[in-house]
Amino acid sequence: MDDPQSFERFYTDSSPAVLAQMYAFTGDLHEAQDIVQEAYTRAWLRWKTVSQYDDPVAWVRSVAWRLSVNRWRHLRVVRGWLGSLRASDESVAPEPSADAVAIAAELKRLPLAQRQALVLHYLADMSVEDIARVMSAPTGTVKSHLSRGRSQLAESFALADAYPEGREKDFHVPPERPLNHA
Amino acid sequence: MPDPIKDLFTKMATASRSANLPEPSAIVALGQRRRTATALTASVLAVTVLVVGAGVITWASPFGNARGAPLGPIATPSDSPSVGETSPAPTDSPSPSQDPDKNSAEPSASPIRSDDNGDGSGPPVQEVDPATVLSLQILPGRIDWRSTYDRAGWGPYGSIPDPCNNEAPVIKTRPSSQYTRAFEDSGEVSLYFASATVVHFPSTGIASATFDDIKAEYEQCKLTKYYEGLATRHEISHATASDLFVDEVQVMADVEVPAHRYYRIHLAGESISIVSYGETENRSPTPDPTYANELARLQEALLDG
Repeated sequence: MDDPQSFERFYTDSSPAVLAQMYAFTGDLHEAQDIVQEAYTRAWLRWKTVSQYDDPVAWVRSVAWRLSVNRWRHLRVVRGWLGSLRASDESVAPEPSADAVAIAAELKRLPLAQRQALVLHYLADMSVEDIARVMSAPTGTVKSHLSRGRSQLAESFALADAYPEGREKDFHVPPERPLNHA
Repeated sequence: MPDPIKDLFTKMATASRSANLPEPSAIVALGQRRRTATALTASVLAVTVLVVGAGVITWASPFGNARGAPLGPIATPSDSPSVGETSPAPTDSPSPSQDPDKNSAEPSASPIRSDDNGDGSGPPVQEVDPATVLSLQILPGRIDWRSTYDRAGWGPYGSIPDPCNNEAPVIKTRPSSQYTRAFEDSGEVSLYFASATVVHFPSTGIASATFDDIKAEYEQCKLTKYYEGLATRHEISHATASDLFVDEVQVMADVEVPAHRYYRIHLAGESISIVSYGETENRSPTPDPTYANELARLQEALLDG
């Protein structure tokens, strides 16, 4: 836990992006805050090691992801303590826009894997290959998640026209396997 | 080519800027606070608790309603010459659930027993340096841990016996098992979890089980369900075993699986794998195909969040 200065720089520089990603993933800004705070706290606890990684943000993101997936219950405690440390009262923070709320709601309707792929692609600017590594999935599967998730969102927001057939080549989708009817 | 979906995400990112994250110094302060986690002990003693803090392992439990509940610290070898010397017999020691006034007592006020069979004839209590603890094993009615403290024997182990039998808490060493070898080989740390207990074991060295439903399970001695899985993921080596506390044990999905089975749960990146290690008694490392369905169900639940 040495070098708090470098950690503070790291936190200041990277936490907004991670927060945005977790917000998109969880659909709940407060929950995303808690998760991000916890992930960075863990990063600080092992900062001596994490700081040596090629991409410490990836480590934080991975931790945050697991926290959100597993609904880590201790966050309630952390929320209580950290709530008092926030720079300003949450009650006076501006509410998210209606658009953001709508997007969050639609994202939450997507299967988890699709949501994760979309967030990593659109908010973390990760390539399909990188997402595949993070998700421990084949690139074809990731492309499928991206394509289907994007299609679902486009349909929900009446944006389907923006994604004609040709654009599906962005994320090549493997053909669906025929159902095996007994 | 414009990408409206990208614009949607950009709006979300913009919205998230309204959130107030703590100042960096607050994160640092929280980390420091966790390093001295023992201060939290008193606040969680009223329920089943296991706290692993700097220099001390402490536990308390709602079980043992009739007789003494295990409650007390295991201090570091260097500063606990009295460990095991002043423990009362369990029949002389009211449990926290019996005596509300005792519930908030500091753990140091209730030393652990000095023997493993309640009459003073057992082996001396083994002292454990929490920094060396590699794993916790939470079984129906028992909590075990493994430590690097005694490298040769991969001991000591500690255990708290079945509360329903009102046995005295025991601390005893055991020979190394296949688990430790598996650990050595893989370089991973896994917690073997099998009980109706929720344990939170975050990076700080805090472990606690504070859920009322779990407490109720203990009190009713219905220790036949496994509700939760625990896991931790690591890239650490033995030399940095204390880093165990820097990772996390995560509470998994509520899944009921057969009792008396060990599950080894790995979290590596985003992949989750679960392997049954067979019956409690033989601790076979061979995955048991008969429980494939339960494992699949558990894994599915985990992946679904």
